[in-house]
Amino acid sequence: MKGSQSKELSEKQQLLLSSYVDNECSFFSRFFAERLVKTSEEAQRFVNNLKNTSQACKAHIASNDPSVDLWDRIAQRLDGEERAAVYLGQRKPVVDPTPSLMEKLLSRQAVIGGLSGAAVAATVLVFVARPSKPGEILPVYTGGPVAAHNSSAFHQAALNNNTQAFGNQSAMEVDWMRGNGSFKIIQNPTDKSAIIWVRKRPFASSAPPQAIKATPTIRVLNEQGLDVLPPRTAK
Amino acid sequence: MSHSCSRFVRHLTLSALSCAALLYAGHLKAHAADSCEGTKVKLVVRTIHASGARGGEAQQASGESTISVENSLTDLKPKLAMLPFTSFRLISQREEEISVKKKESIQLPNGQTLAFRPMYMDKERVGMWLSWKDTDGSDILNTRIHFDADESVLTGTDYRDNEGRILAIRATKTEPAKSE
Repeated sequence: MKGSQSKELSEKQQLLLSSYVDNECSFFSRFFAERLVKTSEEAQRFVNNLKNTSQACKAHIASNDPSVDLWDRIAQRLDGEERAAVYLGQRKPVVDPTPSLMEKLLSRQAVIGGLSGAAVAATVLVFVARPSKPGEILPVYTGGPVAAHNSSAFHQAALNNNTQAFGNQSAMEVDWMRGNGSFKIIQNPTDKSAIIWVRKRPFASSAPPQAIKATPTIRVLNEQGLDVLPPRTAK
Repeated sequence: MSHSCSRFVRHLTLSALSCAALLYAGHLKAHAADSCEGTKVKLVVRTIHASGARGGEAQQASGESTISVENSLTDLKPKLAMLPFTSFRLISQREEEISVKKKESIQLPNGQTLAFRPMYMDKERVGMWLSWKDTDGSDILNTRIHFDADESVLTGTDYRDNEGRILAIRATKTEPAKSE
């Protein structure tokens, strides 16, 4: 809005003042219009001109005698309505359904878009900012003391099982591992963690890295000693 | 007037809902920051050289008594006894303090590098991403593991003939009152 008192009004300002004079503007528009009228002489002049023109038109209409006798036309219309009511029934007033506040809110596409955008932004921030927890990581399950799991409940159950089997032993968990050699996991049942041994290939630099997920194939089962290198053999 | 009021109410409601959503998201983010990202982790990385390869079934049968371990590696003796070497010597020890979810990289004595990123650290467990690279930049080991806090995790690889290079990694939660 231009606050200058000497500059001409823009088209936007003129439309605002027109709607203000016609009493067809919103709360904020009315506020801006009133402020513009107070601060701008041109705006005051514009509003006065509009009001004078409106009053002049009304006065002109009121001063002119109608050449047509309207009472006859009104009587004719009443007769026509009565005749129509015989065949079509009485006229029923059309109930203008006043939409509820929610319907007004929801009917606006922009409002829906704004709410959806705010909800999406909040959801994204929630997921981004949420701290990671052990149970929420999605490892590949291996089982056993060297275990990878995908739920907190299972993790706790696995720890409990391991504790029962091996006393106070706790698990080292591997989500995934990759490298330029073969992996061997060396674990002593009496110890608390395992040793990850990488056996390099003869030409490790040129060989493609081997990626290994913690699949059941490297499951460490201390109960049976399967797939586990006993302490005596690491090579 | 009623029309303008209803429009005003709509605008106000939309603004309030958007602000509420953003405030809630900001609160969650701050909570996450307070609960995890401000935590400091002290990482101790010991590089150990293993030599004196042991072979046959008789090697590990004798257990810890037949291996030679420096005094600074006494706490690792039970673990080192599982490896097929007779002598273990500490080459270097590095200590780094780093915030959770921050990445750090250290240079190892033989030109290898170790990069790590603690993902979380609570009272008992720590989750960490590790990348152990060889001198030529290739991955010796790239892994993500979870282990007990204040416990050493061992990983090793072959180094020359009948020798090995071992990394002992221990993570401790840093507290202001504690001193190492």
